[in-house]
Amino acid sequence: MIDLVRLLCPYPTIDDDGKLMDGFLVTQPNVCRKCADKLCRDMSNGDTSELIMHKICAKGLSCLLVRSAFGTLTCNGILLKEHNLSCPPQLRKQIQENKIALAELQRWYQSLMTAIPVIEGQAGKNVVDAVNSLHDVTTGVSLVMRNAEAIITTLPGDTDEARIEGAPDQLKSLLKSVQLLHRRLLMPSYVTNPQSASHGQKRRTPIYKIFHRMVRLFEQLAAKKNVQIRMGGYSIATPPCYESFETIALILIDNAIKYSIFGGIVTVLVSDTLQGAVHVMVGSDGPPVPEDMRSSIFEPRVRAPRAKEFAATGSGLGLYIAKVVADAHQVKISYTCTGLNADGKIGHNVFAFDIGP
Amino acid sequence: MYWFRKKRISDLPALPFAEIKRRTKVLVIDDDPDSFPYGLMRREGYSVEHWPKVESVTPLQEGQYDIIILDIQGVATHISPDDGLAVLELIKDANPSQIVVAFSSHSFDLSKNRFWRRADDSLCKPVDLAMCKRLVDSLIESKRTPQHYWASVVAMLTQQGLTPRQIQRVEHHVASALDKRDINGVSGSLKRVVDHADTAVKVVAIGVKIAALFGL
Repeated sequence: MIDLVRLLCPYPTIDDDGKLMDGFLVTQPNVCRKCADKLCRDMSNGDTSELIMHKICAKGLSCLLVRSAFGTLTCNGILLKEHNLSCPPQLRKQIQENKIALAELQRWYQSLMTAIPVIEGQAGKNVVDAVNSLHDVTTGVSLVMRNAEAIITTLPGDTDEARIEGAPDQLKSLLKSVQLLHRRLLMPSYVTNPQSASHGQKRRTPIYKIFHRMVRLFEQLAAKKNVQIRMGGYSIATPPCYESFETIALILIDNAIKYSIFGGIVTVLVSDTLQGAVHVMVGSDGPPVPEDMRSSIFEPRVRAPRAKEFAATGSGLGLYIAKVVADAHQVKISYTCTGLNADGKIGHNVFAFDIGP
Repeated sequence: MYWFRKKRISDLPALPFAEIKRRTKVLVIDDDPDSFPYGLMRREGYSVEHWPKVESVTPLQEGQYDIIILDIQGVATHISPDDGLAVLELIKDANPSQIVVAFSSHSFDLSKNRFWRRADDSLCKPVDLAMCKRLVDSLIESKRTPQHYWASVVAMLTQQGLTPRQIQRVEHHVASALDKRDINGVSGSLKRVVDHADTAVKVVAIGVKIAALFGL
């Protein structure tokens, strides 16, 4: 939201990284463009006010820190008429157009504070409307699930797993597709309402079984890409997890297949640690995430450029959803890339985490 | 020493899981007849009933069902514009020990978070048989216990002004009656200490639930 506030700001602004941006009315003065120090970012010695903080930078220009519920914004390169009398006359002349009155800024701030909740409300409503339309899909999937379950019960076997295991291949594939669709339908909630990842009660969850089941569901998709999935490790631990936990398995395995080289191998390793936790590792050979993007791959809509070449489709939300669910479980997913090939275009990508005890 | 200690409810052996599962009455309130695997759950030995709408709140508040799986939308617009959420609050306000599961496809909606938080557990649509079994089994293990219901009784008795020592004495009487398989003794011990008639009815109803977990 702070990016939107910056775009709507009539005055020049500077972000935390020192990147300058013109306002839609007032542009960055040359003195700021040339300034190497960019000390205006540090407002620690500014005149404290509740919402707008004023400081005069080393060059003699005014900087303002504007606080709002949507974040803080630093306006730089302006001359506040009433508060900045120390600006050298030469510079004062140069930046005639950047002279503003505090009252003007306060007026803009007030109107922004009124407008943003309206924009936010509308945006939220649009999201809810869009996701609401999934309700009919959910109803349809429920119906398919009931029919699939009815078919399973007619098969020979003592348990559901045994019945599915003994089913004809085509029926097995159909059931797996339905189960995969069912699990994917639960994912949009974690984007619109991250709290939903911790709805319900935590239950003892066999992590190995969850990943094994997911591997089985993805076997058919992997085969289409001539990718093999190998599952290894040994785990009997059952740390308490929310129902959402399964989504992490789905996303990590799905991504590993999606971004694996043709004919590659996806390895899934689930093993108990001496400390009583469960260590999970999903690895595959594919395009590495560039060093400068590694800290942001769990942010929404972030996709590495080479990832787009490997899989054209993708919203860049998968790892973000995995992070939302991992956060709900106080788990941190790590990413490492080793064994880069000669041209640095393919490496062994590993996503790993520990859960419990 | 154990033999000098006053008998407590947790000292008595409750029915085994399979028996409690067989006796647990599950009610699903949902306008969509296909959202829950009713037939399969019954085949698996669960006692499941279905209401497409909330017919009356009274049986839900009185604890006639052990687990209520409640949809959020289209089940109680005739009761309140808040629909399922209002029903959940009516049940929980009247009977905090009643196990209610929030059942909806609206987990994406931030405005409904109150519904998910107030419930004992949640089930997000669409659901499959395995998810439903896992949920009901874990609720039977964690909440269909004498300790869960007794905690509600303790809260009500505390509100009535009873001291911890007095409550301990009541627990001893109830545990002794349960041990003697005397259901009237259970009701009598609880009724005796509550002045307010409404609270007495509620406390006795929970007492009956506890007795049921011991096969009475």
